Amino acid sequence: MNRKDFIKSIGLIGSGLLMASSPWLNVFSEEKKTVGYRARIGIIGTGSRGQLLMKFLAKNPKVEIVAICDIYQPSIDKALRIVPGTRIYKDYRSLLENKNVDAVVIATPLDQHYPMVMDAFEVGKHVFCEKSIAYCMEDTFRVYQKYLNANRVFFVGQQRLFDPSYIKAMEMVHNGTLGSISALRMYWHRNNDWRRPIDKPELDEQINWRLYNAHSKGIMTELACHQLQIGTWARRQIPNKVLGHGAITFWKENREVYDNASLIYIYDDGVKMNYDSVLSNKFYGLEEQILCSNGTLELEKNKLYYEEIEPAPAFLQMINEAENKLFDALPFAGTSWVPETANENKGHHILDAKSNGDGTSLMLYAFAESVITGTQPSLIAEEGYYATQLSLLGHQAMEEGKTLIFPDEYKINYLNHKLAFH
Amino acid sequence: MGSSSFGKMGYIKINTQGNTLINMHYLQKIVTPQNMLFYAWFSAMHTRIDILISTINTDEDHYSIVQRVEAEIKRVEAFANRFDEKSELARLNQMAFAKEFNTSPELFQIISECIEYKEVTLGLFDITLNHKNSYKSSMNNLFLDYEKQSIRFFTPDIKLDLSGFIKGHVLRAVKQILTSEGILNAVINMGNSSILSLGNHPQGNGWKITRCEEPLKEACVLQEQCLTTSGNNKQTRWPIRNPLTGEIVRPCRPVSVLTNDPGLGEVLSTALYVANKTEKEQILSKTQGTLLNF
Repeated sequence: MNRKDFIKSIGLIGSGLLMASSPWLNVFSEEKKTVGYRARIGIIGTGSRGQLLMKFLAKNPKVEIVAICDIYQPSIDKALRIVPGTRIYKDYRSLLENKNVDAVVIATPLDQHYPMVMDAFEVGKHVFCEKSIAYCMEDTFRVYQKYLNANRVFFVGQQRLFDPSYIKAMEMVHNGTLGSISALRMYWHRNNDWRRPIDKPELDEQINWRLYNAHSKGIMTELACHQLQIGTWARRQIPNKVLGHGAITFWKENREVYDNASLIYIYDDGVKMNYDSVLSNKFYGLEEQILCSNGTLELEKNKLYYEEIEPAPAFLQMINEAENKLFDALPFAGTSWVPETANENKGHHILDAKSNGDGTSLMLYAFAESVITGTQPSLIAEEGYYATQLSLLGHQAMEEGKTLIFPDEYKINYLNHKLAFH
Repeated sequence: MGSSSFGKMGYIKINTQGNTLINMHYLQKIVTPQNMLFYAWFSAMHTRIDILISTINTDEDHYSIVQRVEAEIKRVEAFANRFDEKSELARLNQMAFAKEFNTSPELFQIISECIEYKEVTLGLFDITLNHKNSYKSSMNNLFLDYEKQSIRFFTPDIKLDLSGFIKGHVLRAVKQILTSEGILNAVINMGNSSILSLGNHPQGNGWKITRCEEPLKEACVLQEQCLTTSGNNKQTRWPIRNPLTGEIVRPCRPVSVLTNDPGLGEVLSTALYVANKTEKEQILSKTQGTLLNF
């Protein structure tokens, strides 16, 4: 789905309610005025994710990738196939000194995000940082404060914010079509060890950084971060309590981060968001389920299931027999009938056609628009902020084996944390 | 929308702010060249609502009629559901001890009518809940100001529960809607326990109905009447208490009554379920209802 199809598919133009539900989409309202302008972007980190982002950016006529930076030559070589002849750096600080770079896209290992984002804002660059924002809650908070003071655009790679079926689903959640949210269930199951092939043993930690505690918080920062954001988006509320357990039970060789995790995030009103991930079984795959009083959403599948109800057999029988001139008794009177559960329900599509991709390409379009206009879209930084903080808090809860409360010192002026903000 | 052995069937969809919301299923079948049956069902009041209309006019559009019915049921549910904290009844339950609660005219009328039924049912129809009073009636601790249409609780632990009456209230309104729309022949079933009939089945007089569990000795024919049933079934094992003693009534066969008024039907079936034989006779002698399956 391209940008035009995206706008058409969600009925973006003129839909005030949709804009209220996902206000960052106003970024596209100025796109005619930015024709002829270019966002000059430097890529920091040209590994597999960085290359994917580059492929999307390279298709946008409003983007020029003016520089790339990486310390691993094979990644640089692959990136050059996407943007031949672009300027190459080995040190991101040198790239930041390049005055022709308006904005940077950071797709490096998690533990490197913090200095890179802080330095980029310091020299006045706009920033797109892959999730999660930083390795710990304190650094994440500092990044957000730096962004507030920098007056620059800040995107975090929470691409579901730009997935049309998610946007449409959230509009239905927010306008009450589905009733109130009773529970949220998120899971991401895979059956692989996350390990990538390496040429030399000494490169293991550099290439397979996701597996090591010094560089990553594993499941939480690499997978859960995407899905926990859905809870904040749907409920317009941040859960203040979390408990959970993580362990390594299957992939025991050369791994420090958990290969399975289960957590419960608890909102102040008692509604819960359950999260679990297992890396040694992929049968259930990936899903975010929003359970509402009038229906259920399965966002990855683009499906919506109304709480449907079966007809009364006696009425069907009566209708069927009426043409045979039968006047039999209707056997249905009795004490109150209550609905059965777990009916066969094939559901409906949220959008008629599920979009290709997951919103990444459209998010990068939006980033380019924002860089050109210098305007930060509403809420996008805050949604990214809490996605990271909830992931990190969940990880900490598992590490400490405790129920943790969201710390006051990391609350920002957003949603139900506004009152506690200081 | 599609077709089957039942004829035309599908969903009735409504548009809310650009979204299509499926709120009701229906099917219709032409029984004879002069008669069509239209059946719609949907969920409300934590149960299934069935509406069956028999009409001689096959061109009539019944969608808007059943949608009016659905809207009315959901309107009542929205203010009279004590479990919905936003409902008027829930707010009354929460606030009426601290200060007098000014109700809407409709809620006041419902509550005052329920209180009036106390005498005729020998105190066995009761809308108060009070676990601190061992579940015995707390009707005497209610104060209704008929001039101001306000309600006050004299003790803090009272909750009003209209679930034993509200279906009857709804069925009165539904009857009015159908009649105003020119529907002469119909059956409206609210979760099997509250059934209202209008006119006739396409092939006979009235509507012949029997119970699905614990069958009646013979089917009863409803002629502009209501069949109301109280009790428990295999799925529902709610404790039903005698408001005079607070004790749970020993499980027994459901009680069905035939009345002209759906509200009275709710009151009688509830009271008669907990009444002993003498009380039953006394209650029935003062009211216009017929107890089925003694």
